[in-house]
Amino acid sequence: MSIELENVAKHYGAEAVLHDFSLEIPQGELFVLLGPSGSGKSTLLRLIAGLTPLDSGTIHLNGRDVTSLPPQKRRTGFVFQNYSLFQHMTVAQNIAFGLEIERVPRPQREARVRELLELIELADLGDRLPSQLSGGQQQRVAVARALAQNPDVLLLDEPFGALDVKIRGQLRQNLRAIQKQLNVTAILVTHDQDEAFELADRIGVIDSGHLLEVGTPDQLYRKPNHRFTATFLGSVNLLRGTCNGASLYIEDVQLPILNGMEYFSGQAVDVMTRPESVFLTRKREEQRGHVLGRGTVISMAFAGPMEKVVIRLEQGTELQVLMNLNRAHELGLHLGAEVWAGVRDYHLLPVG
Amino acid sequence: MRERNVNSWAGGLLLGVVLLYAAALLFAPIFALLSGAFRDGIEPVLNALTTPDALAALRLTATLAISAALINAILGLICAWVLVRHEFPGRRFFNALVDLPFVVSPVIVGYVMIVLFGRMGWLKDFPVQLAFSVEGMLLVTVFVSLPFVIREVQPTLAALTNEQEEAAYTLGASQWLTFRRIIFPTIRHALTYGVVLTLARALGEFGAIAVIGGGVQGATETATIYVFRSMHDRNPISAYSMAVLLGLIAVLILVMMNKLRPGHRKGH
Amino acid sequence: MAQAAAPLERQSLLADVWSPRLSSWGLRASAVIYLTVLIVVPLFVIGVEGLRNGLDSFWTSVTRPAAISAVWLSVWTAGVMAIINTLMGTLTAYVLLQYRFPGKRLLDSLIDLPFAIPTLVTGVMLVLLYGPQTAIGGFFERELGVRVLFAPPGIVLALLFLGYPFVIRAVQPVLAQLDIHQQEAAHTLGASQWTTFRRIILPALLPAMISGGMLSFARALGEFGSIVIVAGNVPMRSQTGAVYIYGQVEGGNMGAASAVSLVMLAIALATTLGVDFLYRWRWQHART
Repeated sequence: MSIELENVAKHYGAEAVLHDFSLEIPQGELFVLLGPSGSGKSTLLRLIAGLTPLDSGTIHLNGRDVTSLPPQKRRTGFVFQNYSLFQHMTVAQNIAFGLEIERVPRPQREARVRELLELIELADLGDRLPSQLSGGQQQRVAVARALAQNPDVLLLDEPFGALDVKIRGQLRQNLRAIQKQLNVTAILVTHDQDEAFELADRIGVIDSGHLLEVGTPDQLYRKPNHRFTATFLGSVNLLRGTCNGASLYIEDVQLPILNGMEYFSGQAVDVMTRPESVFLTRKREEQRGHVLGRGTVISMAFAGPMEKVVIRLEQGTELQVLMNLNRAHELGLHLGAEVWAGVRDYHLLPVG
Repeated sequence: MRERNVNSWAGGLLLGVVLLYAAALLFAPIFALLSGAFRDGIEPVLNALTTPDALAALRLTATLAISAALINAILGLICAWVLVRHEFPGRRFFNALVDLPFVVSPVIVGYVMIVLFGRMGWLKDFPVQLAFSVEGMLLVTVFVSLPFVIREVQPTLAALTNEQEEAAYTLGASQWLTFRRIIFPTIRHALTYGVVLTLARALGEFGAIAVIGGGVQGATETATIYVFRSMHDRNPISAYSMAVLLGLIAVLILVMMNKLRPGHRKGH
Repeated sequence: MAQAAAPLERQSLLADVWSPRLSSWGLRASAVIYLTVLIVVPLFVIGVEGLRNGLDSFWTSVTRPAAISAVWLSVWTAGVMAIINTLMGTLTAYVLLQYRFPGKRLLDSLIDLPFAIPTLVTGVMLVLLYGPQTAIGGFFERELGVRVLFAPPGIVLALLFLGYPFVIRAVQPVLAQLDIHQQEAAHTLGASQWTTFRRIILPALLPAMISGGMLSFARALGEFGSIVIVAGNVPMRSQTGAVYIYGQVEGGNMGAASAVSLVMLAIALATTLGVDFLYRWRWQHART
C-alpha cells in the first residue's frame, strides 16, 4: 500500500472537519477525492503532507509512519491551488529548489531539471520568471517542481481550478499521462465531477468530513451506495418505493427487483435512474424496458447534441430525461405532449 | 491564522533576541525616565510642573502645536488633493518636495530662518517679526510637521474611484456637496491620522526653535526648550518632570495612533 | 508610514473635467504657494547662501577639520544605526507576524513611540539610563573603559531609538502579504524554517528593508534634539554635523553654517532620491 490512512480526524475548536477517515491507496493509483466546498478534502490533503497537524489517527506512506514527521521529511510532492511558485526565481530555479536542498550536485541537478522540463513540454522556458508564464504553464511548472525529488506521493489541491475551461481538458490528459508514466501514487482533490471521471482510477466521495464511499467512476456513477453520491455525480432521478418479496412498488407500479438487490426486501428504498436511462415513447407498446407510467412533457431544454426533457408522471412525480436530439425530433416532443416512460435498468439506494 | 507558538529552539532564540532588543531599546529608557523623575515621590514633580515658567512653556507649546496642526490640516488637504487630482507641469517636483521637511535637520531650518529674517537677513524689513518671535516659531513648526497630512491622505485619495462621485453628480449633487458627503468621510480617517502625527511632530520640535526661538524664560520658551534649559541650569527635577509630561502626552498620542491605524491600514 | 516621493500613478480625474476653472486654479495656486514658500524658498536660500562667497570659501568651510569630523560622525553613526535597525527591524517584524507570545500587543503598540515622542525627551531618557552616574553607564566606564554617554556610542543608541519603527513598519505590510503557500511549498520540498526564510521570504522583503533602512538613515542624519543632550558635543570628538551647524549659527559664522548645511542636505536628498529610484526600479522590475 502506498498510502494508508487510519482513523484520521481533525477538528478546529469544537468543530470536526474530518471524522474518522480511513483509506488505503495502492502504488501507482490516481485517486480523486471528490466533494463540495468545505467538505474537508483540502484539509485531508494538507494532513497527508504534514502542513496541518492531525488530531488523531495515523498516516503511513510506503510503509513509513509519517504521522509525527514535519512536511520536510515526508517525501510528498504538493501542488497548490494557485501554484505558489517562487516569484523571484526562474522556472528552472523553482524546479531545482528541492534538489538544492538535498545537495544534489549541479550536473545531476541540471540534468534532472532538463528532464522535467521535457516532461511538461516547456523545454525552452527554463529561464522565464513565473510572472511571464500563462496560467497553464505555471501549473505545469508547479507539477514539475513537486515531482523533482521523486516523491512517494503526489498531492494536488484543485490544480485546474484557476484555469480556462478549454485548457483544462488538455492539461488533465497531460497530468494523467505523466502520472502513469512515472507510476507515482497521486491524490487529486476536486469538486468537479467531470474532472474526477476523467482522471480517477478510483474516486472517494467526501461530504462534511466523512468519507462516504470509494469506488471506480463507473461504480459510483451507476451503483452508488449513498444518496449523496448519486446526487453529487450528475443529474439523477430518485423515486421512493418499497420492496416486498421479489417485487418493487413505486406507487402502484410494480417492478422486479434486479439481481443483487434482494437484501432490500421489506424496506423503503429510493429507486435511482440516470436521465439517460429513461426511455420515452408515444405509445405503450413501443416500450421495451420496465414501464413506469404515462406522463406529460413540462419542460424541454436544448443541450448541444442532447435534449433535456422533464416530464410529469400521472402520479405527480417528475422525471428528468436526457435523450439524443434526433430522437427528440423523431418523437415530435413538445410541451404538453403525452408520453410513456420506462427504464431499462435502475439501482436501489437505502432511504435516509 | 498564521500565528503560532514558538516550536523550535531556533525560534525561541530569535524571539528572545528580538524581545531583549526591544526591552533594552524601548522599555528600559521609559523605565529609567519614570524612576529618575519620581525618585523622590510625586510631589516634587507636580510642584515643578506648576511653576509659572513651566505652565507658560506648556501653554506656548500647546498653542504652537494646535495652530500648526490646523494650518497643516487644511493646507495639507488641499495639497494632497491637488497633487493627486491635478495634472500640471512640475507636479512630480512638488510631490518630491513634500518629503523634504522629513529629512532636513531642524537646525538647518532654523538657520534658513535667520538668513531670511535675522537682523541682517534678506528680508530683514519683513512686516512681521519672524526671527526670535512666536510667529517665527509657528512658521518653523508648520514646516517641520508639513508632510504628515499630505502623505497620509494621498494614498487614500488616490485609491478612491470615480464611480461614487459620478453617481452623486448624476443625482444632482454639487462638487462641494459631493466632497463633503462622499469624499471627505472616506478620507477622514487618514486625515485624522495625519493630524495626530502632525501634532506629535509639532509638540516635539526643538532644533529649529532652539535656533530662532525667543528663548525668553516664562514667555517665549516652549516645553522642549524648557527641558533643555533646565538640564543646562542643573535643575534636573524640572527637566525630568517636564520630560515625563511630554512623554505622557506622547503615549496618549501613540494610543490615538494605534486606534486609528488599523482602519487606516485597510485604506479605502 | 511616510514614503519618500512615491511615484504618482493617478492621472487627472474628475476635477479637470467638471470643475469650473476658477476654483480649480484657486486650489492649485494655494497648494503651489504653500509648498513654494515653505520648501522651495528654504532650499533656494541654503543653496545661495552656501555658495554666495564663491566656491573657494565654500570649500574652505567644508574642509575645516572640525567640519569634516562632524559630518563624518553624523554619517557613520547614522550608517551603523541603519544597518543594525535593518537587521533587527526585519527580525522584529517577522517575529510579530509569526509567533504568539505574551506582551505581543504591547510591543506592537509601542513600536511607534519614537515617532511620537519629542527627541529631547529621548535624550533625557538615555541620560537617565546610560549616564556616567547610572548603574549601566558607570559599569561601562569603570570596567570596560568605554564612555557610553557624551561619546559616539551614546549617539548610536539615541539614533537606534529614533529609527526603531522605520524598518519594522516598512516590512510589516510586505510580510503580511506574503503568500503563505509559497512557504508551505518550500517545506514540502524539504526546506527548513531557516532556509525558507533565507531563500523565499527574505528576497521578497529586501526592497522594503532597504527603503526603510535608508529612510531611517536620512532621518537620523540631521537629528539634533536627542544628540545635543546625549552626545557631549565636543568638537572633533563627539560633535555631529547638526550640532556643528548649530554652533556656527550661534557664533554668527553663517558662511560655515551654510556650507556644511548644504553638504548635509545633499547627503539627505541623495538618500531619499535613492530610495525613490530603488522603489521605482524594483517596482518596474517586479512587474515585467
